[in-house]
Amino acid sequence: MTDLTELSLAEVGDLIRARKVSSVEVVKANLKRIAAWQGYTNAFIDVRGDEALKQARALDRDLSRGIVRGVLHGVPLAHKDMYYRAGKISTCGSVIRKKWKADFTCTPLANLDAAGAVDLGTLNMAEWAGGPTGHNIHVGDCKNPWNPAHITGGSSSGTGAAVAARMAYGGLGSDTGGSIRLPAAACGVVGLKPTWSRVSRYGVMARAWSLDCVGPLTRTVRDCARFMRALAGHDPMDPTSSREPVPDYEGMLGAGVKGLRIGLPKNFYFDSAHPETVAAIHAALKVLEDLGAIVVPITVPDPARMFESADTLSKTEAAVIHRRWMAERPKDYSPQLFARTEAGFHIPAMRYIEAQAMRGPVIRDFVEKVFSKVDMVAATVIDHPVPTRAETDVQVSGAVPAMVGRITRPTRPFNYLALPSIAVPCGFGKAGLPISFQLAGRPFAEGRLMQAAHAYQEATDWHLRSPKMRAA
Amino acid sequence: MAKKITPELIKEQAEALHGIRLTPQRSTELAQEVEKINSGVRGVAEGILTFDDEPGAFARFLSALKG
Repeated sequence: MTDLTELSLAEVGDLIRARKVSSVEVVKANLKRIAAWQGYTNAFIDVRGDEALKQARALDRDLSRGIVRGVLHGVPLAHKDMYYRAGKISTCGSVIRKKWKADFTCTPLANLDAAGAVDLGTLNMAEWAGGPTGHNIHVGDCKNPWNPAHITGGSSSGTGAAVAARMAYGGLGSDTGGSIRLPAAACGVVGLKPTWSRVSRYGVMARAWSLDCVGPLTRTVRDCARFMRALAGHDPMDPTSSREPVPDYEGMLGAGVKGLRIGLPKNFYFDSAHPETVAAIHAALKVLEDLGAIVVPITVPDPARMFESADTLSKTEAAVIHRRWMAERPKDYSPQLFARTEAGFHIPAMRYIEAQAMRGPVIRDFVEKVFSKVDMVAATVIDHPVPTRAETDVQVSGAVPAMVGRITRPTRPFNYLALPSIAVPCGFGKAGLPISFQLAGRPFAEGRLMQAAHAYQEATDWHLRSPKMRAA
Repeated sequence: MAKKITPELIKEQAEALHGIRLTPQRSTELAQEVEKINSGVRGVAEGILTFDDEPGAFARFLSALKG
């Protein structure tokens, strides 16, 4: 019999609905895989096997009575440990919330529950979602399944590792400056940062309210589309969530890319990128051209000018969120996160408000100048080979901003712009670690981005490759 | 033209506004980081912001500019 864990979310979901395999069988296969790979990756914080099996049995019973809960019926997922579930611990990757239990369930998990998903447990993450590498001194670093000496990317480190290592079919990450796309890229899976406001943030630990985006990491774009169908939409509990209708993303996938105009930035994104990263992305664009897309060299409004504004929002909001604990329990923070957040105490209120007030005009300028010429933009995600954990384990507080800035350079501007962006694997570097590109588009153009990314995956097989454990 | 943010300013502000005591080395690091952020945002804002721009408006732009 096929190893069920090698199937995609959509494939296994279809088999469960057709009753060719039970949710219990699938959950058992996942738990076996988790037992084999947890020590290698440290992707999970808490495996909730018994509860997952109980859920699966109930969902199998439903199916036998002809009841289909939703598009994720019986499919096991696992999520970054910052999505509150009533009565369950959400550590947020921290010491301070090591035993903290929520008394309500967040909207993203409630939406997935309603769609019939099974919850396998909680996943590793950067402390308070505040680091782009996957280091965590409290729960242990998350390790890249392709080579555990290398970073997973962060802050949704466990989701990247678990999905790549076939421990779960998909999972939630969150993206404030790249925290979905970076681990997706480092681990070789798909990661979608939706438009800010597309998915409710109610009951989700905040890193920086005005930048945080909830989104999925999956193996394929089809999986991502199905996941988003269950996840997105307005939530009265989060008044900032959008009322824009949620399209049938999966139904849109087959449209192809004929005539689609993809902008290839002449400035910023490829300025300092490594040659092997540039070559892989150019090869990916050639695939899309062969499918009928038109690649258009384009100059984009300088994203470097947005970096300080994005930094102002994230640092100031994080400082407000953590002010009390940073004063009362400074030793319960890693020195790196403390250093990263500390500048927020000293940024004048004027600068914060200016950074926020500029956002509308900056978004309009970017959208009008770029998306009047092209439908989407292709860019780097991690613009160098995925570094090792040792190379990025910064111990000197003054060196933290430079390290974070270097890694998040290609991703952070799209958070300030609030635009959707999808990271898609497009090859492997000489060291055997994945390379990815991102496609970014107009507000609420997630469906169009997924169309292009899906067309690319239909023509390539990078997303089908599975990591193998290396000998110790 | 504004003066550069100094370690002394950061140290005094940390104590007076937040009750935080900083080492001289940390004050120096933070002064450099905050100077970069402060001057960066101020410089960009001067060229962009107009009288009617407001912080909450960006969400409206998303709907208006949707794809």
